[in-house]
Amino acid sequence: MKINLLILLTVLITSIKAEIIIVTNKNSDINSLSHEAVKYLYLSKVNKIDNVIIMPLLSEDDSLHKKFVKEILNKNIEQYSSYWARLVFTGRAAIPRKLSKKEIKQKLMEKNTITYMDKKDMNKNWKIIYEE
Amino acid sequence: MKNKSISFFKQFAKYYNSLSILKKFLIPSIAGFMFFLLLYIYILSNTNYMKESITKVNKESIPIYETLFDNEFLLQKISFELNNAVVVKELDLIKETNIYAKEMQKKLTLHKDTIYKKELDNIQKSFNEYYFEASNLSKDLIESTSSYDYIHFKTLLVVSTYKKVLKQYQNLREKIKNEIKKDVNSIYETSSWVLFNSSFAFILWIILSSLGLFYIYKDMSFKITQIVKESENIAHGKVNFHKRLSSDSIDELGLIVNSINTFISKLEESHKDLEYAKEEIKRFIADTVHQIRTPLTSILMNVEMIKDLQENDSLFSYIDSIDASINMLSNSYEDLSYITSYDTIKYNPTLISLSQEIEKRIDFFQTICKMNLKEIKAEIDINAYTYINTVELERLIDNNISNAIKYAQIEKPIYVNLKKSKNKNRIVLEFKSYANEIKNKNKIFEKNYREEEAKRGLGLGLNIVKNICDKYSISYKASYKNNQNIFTYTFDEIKKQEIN
Repeated sequence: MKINLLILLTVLITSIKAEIIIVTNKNSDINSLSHEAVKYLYLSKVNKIDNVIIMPLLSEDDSLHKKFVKEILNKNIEQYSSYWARLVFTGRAAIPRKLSKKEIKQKLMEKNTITYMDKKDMNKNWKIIYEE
Repeated sequence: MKNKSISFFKQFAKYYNSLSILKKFLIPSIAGFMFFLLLYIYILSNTNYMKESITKVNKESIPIYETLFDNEFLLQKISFELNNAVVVKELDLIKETNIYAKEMQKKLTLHKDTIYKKELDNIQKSFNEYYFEASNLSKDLIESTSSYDYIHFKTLLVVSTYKKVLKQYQNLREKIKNEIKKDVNSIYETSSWVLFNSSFAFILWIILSSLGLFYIYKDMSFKITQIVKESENIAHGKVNFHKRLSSDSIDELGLIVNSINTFISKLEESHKDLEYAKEEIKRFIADTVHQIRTPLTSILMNVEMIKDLQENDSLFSYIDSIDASINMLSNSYEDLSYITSYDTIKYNPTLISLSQEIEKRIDFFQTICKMNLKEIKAEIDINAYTYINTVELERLIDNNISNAIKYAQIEKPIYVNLKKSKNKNRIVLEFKSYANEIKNKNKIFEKNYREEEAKRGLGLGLNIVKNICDKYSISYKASYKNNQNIFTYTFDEIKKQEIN
């Protein structure tokens, strides 16, 4: 029982301490992004960095998404939702579709596509362009 | 075409000539009035067009433009309110946006009867679509129970309909802006064109009316000059009876021309009558002169015979009286004879001794002087020669002496002087007599002029003298000095050596 509890705590701590990174295809034209650039891309304020059109992807992993919104975009989920509602109602941008891990992997095969993920999910086909 | 033009101009000339002076001068004004009437209609039609354009801009384009702005503002308000509803998660706030949506629709409906109906319908349709989708999305976002994929597609729909509405607003705004621009440009171009055409028409009118007036003035001036010239000719007796004034017009000047032509015709008739009468009188005088010649010669010869056959002097005074009267009658006879024959008989000049001829004529007048208690004192240079016809010289001398006898004071001498000037090749002949001064020395040589109506005469003597002087360029003058009337005649002297 104690062992089980220890394992659970270890898993919880590990998951809490999950490190969020921004990755892209290793063949992409972008090599790194600043924090501000990541924010601007995900809040649909810009879609281009250094003349490279970048397509940000959202994860349907709710805890990862919330974590990303909180840590990277510095907003709570309500703020994030109302921000996107404003963009939608004023015709500036539609709320992006959230993708599954499989879909993200699929999409990351395209150049200049970025997404956020837990660092531990990193693989050799991608490169990190931002991490805290 | 050419014949038609010629025919038109002929018709116009005929019409022009049939007008009075006033109407002729009114032609440019009336033509100008018609011209400006057409111009006025042209300006009015253009002004109406400009008015329509301005009305369209003021009543349609600008209000619709304003409505579009208002509606865009309302659209923003709706999107803002829907966003608020989502943020605060209040479904009631969604319903409140209905007011704005209705206001938008109402504003759009107000302009449906304009040329932008189609565009406004499309906007309304797109807006309804947007509003419906956006309201639904708001509810979904508030309730947040639907799947995320479904919201994603709904947001895509809302964004695209919003963009569509905005685009339609922008397109219509651009269209209206272009229409206003086009209308304003059209007004500017039309007004510029009207201004240019009006200026051109005004200048054209000035030129054409000036030319018209100038032509009428020249026409009038020509006719008046013709009338004045012909009137002057009539006044100076130089009228040409074979010529008439030409006038195609029947205006006042044409009437004057016709009157003058009628007057000339009447004058011609009178002239013919007078010429005929003159010829008749001349013939009568010629016949009379011819009839007198034989008995007068007979009387003169018989008087001479009586004189010769008289054994005592008892009848001499009577015979002298008869002789003097016959001589005076003879003098008058010679005047009449000369007058009736000078234009038919050629009186050729010959070289004559003035000295001898004057002495001969003084001798002829001795008896007349004696009977009139007058005496001729002569101072005559000898050998004064000149070229003149004998008959004409006789008339010159006789008329001067007979006038002197007629008008000179009794028992006062009559001087006849013939002097040759030494250097100038001139011979001066003077007749001096004591008498009342001649009142009008210039008129004394005119035909039928008499100084004293009481003393009747033919009034021809000095006029015959004048005509003879003019024929031979003899200068003549009447003057008065030392109570004497002096008649001076200056002849060209012909020297003896010139004769040889």
